[in-house]
Amino acid sequence: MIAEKILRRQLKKAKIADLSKITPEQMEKFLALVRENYETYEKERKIMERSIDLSSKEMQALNENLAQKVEEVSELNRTLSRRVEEEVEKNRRKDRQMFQQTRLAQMGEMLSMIAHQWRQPLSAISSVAISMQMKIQLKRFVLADKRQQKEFEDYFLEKIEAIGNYVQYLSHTIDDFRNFFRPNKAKERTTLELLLQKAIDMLHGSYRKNSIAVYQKIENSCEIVTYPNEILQVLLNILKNALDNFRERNIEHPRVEVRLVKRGNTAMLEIEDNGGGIPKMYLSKIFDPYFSTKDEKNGSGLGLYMSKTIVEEHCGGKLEAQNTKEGALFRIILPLSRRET
Amino acid sequence: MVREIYAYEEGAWDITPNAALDSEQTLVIVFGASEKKKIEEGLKELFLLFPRAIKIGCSTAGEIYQEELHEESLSVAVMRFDTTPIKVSTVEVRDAEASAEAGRKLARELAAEDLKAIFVLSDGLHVNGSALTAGINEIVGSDVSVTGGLAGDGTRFEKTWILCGEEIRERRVVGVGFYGDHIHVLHASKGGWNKFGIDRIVTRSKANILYELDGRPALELYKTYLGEYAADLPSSGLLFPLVLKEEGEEKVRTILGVDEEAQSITFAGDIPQGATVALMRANLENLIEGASEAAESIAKNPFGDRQVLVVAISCVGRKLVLGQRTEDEIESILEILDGNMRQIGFYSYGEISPLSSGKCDLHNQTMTLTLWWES
Repeated sequence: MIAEKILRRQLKKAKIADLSKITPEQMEKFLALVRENYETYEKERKIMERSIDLSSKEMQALNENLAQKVEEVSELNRTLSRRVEEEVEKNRRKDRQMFQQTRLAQMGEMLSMIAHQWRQPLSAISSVAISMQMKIQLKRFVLADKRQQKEFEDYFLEKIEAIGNYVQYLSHTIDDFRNFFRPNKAKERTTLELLLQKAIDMLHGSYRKNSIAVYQKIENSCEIVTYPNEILQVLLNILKNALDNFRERNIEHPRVEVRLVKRGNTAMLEIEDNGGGIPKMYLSKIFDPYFSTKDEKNGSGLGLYMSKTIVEEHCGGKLEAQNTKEGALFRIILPLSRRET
Repeated sequence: MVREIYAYEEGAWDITPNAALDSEQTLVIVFGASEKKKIEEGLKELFLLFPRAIKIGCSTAGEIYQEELHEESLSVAVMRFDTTPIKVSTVEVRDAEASAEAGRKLARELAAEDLKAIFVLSDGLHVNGSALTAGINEIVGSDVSVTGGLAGDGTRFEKTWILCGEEIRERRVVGVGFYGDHIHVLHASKGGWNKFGIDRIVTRSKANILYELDGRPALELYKTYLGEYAADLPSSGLLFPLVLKEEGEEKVRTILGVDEEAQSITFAGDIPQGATVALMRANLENLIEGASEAAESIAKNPFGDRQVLVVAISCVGRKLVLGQRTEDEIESILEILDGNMRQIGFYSYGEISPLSSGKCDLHNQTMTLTLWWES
């Protein structure tokens, strides 16, 4: 069909109307047209074959290049995931070290707190013992007298009981601190109020010595399921920081206000002081590791970093800080136990 | 509208042009051989017969006359409009960089509230077709249909000419504006080339001059692909147009010239640096199919028994590939278009017609049709 069409055109262009009467000129023109057509097809065939070869080669090169790139990328991936693992392990080790360091620092602080806690009951024991000794030396009781002998016995029993109570108090204190250092294995059901109370009790001695007033507004005891000792560590850290700051800046009428409220399905604990607040330029850095405004002896620079790690990574909560009119405000938000919500 | 077409070949007209059609509202469109001495006499006769008519035209890489392909001839259409006002404008173009300004100037001279369509013919070698159409688009809205093409010079790529009035010159653009509600214009454009081989990135280019693909001289790539036919550049380069992916639309770009010293290739339209391009190759069936599809897309329109003129502008690259099958694509148009049709046209160095957005753009390697009739 195509060949016929082209042939007809060639005859027409050669002006051949009658095949039985072809002039040499017509024949020459006709053959030129036929040749031209052959040449066109020959050229197209050559170029087609050449371009198929070339483009196949280019495709093949591209393919090989691609395969190599894929190999490079997967090798890179392998190296990368190995390095990520290494870095993660390094970080874990660093975290463990930090925890250890903070623990040690806190143990030191605890010892000084225990000393404060014990001073008062020890001096009370001592004064009871002295007054008992005085009574004997001054012979205040005539033991021959039956009535006075009875009074002497009552007095002695009363004082010994008092000493017993003081001793028990001292022993409690030790239990509290020992519990604090025992690491939690599993989450426990407790209330934020209870933990707060424990923290305030543990710091009671130091706070009293520095005349720090503590105001508590507890709207709800807020039951949570958490690692109690870790949260206690956070609370002690914040309360201890307030104390250190009061002392460093010589704040008059130092005051700490704690507020505990339920907010939807979270517990919100705010600890606010009137210690003048955190300098603006440090506000964004206080949760960074090894950042401290305290002098070297007093600050490891890890307290707030660890606190944030505990609240946000271990306990699924949030710890934030801001300045208020008179001082700093720390806000701990923790998920309430399912029973509470 | 009264419309007649004439062919001038080997010093004679097939039908004597009808001087009675001459008027101020007559448009004479001439497509002719780039070698002037073959057609000088014919043109002189036309000027004598149609002194009052607007006369425009250009050189070609082959003239289309009805279903035939002519060489070294004149293919002429004369349209005398009953009610449609027409206006002509011509702009000189110093070089390719002045193309956008030429487009703006031409469009400004033709712009009017009732402007319906513009038919543009441009120098084929010294004009950047993309910039020219961009310039026109800046002035006229997408409701004005702009069609036309870039003049050709066989497969020589040396010298083209543009006719305006009785002047034949290089480095110019001519445009005719059609006004009012009685003129009807339809257009269609189809390619039929296939992308082949790998995608390549334009690593160095400037406007319509391409220097490097994937960091290697573009001319080297073309020479590798053409083998022994590299000697026939730039015309043999037409066998491998580039497809250019830009803003989600694929545009075809065809070679206008090569610069051995700069190792560069000049294309009929822009090749932006950073763009992705690929070589294309012809598929003979697709090319002929493409021309048919262009005709089919407008076949069912209501011309009634009115006289219609079809101007077919097809790319020289298609002719080069189709060889003696070129007439297949010309024939297929008239086979499909039903009605009182006459067809002239030419093989060009670039085609102009609207994109789907309505804005006109330069096309390459397409068959582009424009139909006019008057009601």
